[in-house]
Amino acid sequence: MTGMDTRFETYGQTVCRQVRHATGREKRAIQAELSAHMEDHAQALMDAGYDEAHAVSAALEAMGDPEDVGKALNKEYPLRWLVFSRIPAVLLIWIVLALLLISPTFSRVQDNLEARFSPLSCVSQPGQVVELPDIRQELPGGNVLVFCRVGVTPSDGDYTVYVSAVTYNKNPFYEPLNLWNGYWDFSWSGIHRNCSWNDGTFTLWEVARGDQITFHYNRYGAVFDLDIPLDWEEVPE
Amino acid sequence: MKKLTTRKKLTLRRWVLVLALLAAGYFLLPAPFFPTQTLRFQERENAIDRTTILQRETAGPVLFFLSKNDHVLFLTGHRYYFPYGWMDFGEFPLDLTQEDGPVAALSVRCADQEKNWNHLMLFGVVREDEAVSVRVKDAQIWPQEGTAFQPGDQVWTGEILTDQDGLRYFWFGQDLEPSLTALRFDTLEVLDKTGQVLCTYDLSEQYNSVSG
Repeated sequence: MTGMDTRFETYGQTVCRQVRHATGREKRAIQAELSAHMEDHAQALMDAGYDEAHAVSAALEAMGDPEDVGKALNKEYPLRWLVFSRIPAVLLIWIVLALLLISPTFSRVQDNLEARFSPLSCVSQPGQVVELPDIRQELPGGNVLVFCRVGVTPSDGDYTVYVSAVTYNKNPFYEPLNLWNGYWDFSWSGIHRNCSWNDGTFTLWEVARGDQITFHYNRYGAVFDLDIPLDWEEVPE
Repeated sequence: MKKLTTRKKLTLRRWVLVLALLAAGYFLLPAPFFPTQTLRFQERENAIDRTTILQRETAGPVLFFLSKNDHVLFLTGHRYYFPYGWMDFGEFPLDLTQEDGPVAALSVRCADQEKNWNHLMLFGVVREDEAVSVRVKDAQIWPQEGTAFQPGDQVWTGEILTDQDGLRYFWFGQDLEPSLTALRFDTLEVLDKTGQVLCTYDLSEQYNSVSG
């Protein structure tokens, strides 16, 4: 059946040349289907007594002009669907690139959960620990501020107090309040002072023994004061 | 028709898969699809309640939003980096609860040295009912040599706008000579419709900058 295959293959190729917007795989499928159809027809004719050459010719003639067949088939494969089918692949590549190149989302989730359930593991721990409070204050944007540790170091007659704090967002996929932004208002000895946050800790200088330390928050409509617990009886003289 | 249906089905299946991934990516991907997502990040990072966008403007490579809620007027910058998506390019909250005077304002300089882009913006709120515009003057520049820019000549004006809630605000800016590393106006004047100065505001401590 080699001659039959060759003529049918030629027919299929002529048809496919008219189908401009089919993919390679689609064209091969078209050719395979046309060939199978013509082979069945030719085989039926040979079973009815035709010789192979006549059977093939009859099968080809029955299919019609290959260019006309191809033009009719071309309407079944419009360009817009080809383009439409390619766009998801482009989007997928973009998504994979974005995931590969940057994935802080996962570390953000981890950081949020760690700050929420194990805040002490997120902060440095300077000074002798005096208190291990767990003071949590909700803030706008789903944020929660946690004060989790108070440490003290004697310093020239006064004390340096280290107040450890972290933030997390109740939605672990969201960014929490960034304590690196700006200065934060504490008061002790009756005076308000701006303190910066570094490595999980606010450092408060020149705190006198017995002072009450208070954190003051007044930003963008959220206002509250938090007393930081510090039992001076636990602090060695 | 059978082949068309197959291609159509395949295409639709691909779209369903990609849309499902994009929907998941909206939350999981650190690459925001929309600049408003970045705005929400910036709000959360500053513990600011959700704001409403008053205006948006593109200056150079950056899209800026001026947004507000009852407590803050918030200027944010957003820049698109493929394939990372929209990224934060500066956030400048004006805390309306901290200043109860007739005017409060910030000035912000944004720059991109690679693209030779340099831009100064001023924004704020005005609580004088008769005010129609603001004027800034007394410019200070850095560097002071090697530039044709004459700070003494610089007087910028901006119109006061009113949003649907009655907030009276202004937001205006201009591109600067790329060689200027800073331009700061020290004085802001609030003007009525005749041009008379209603009040002044010291801008010298209200200068911010961001570069990328």
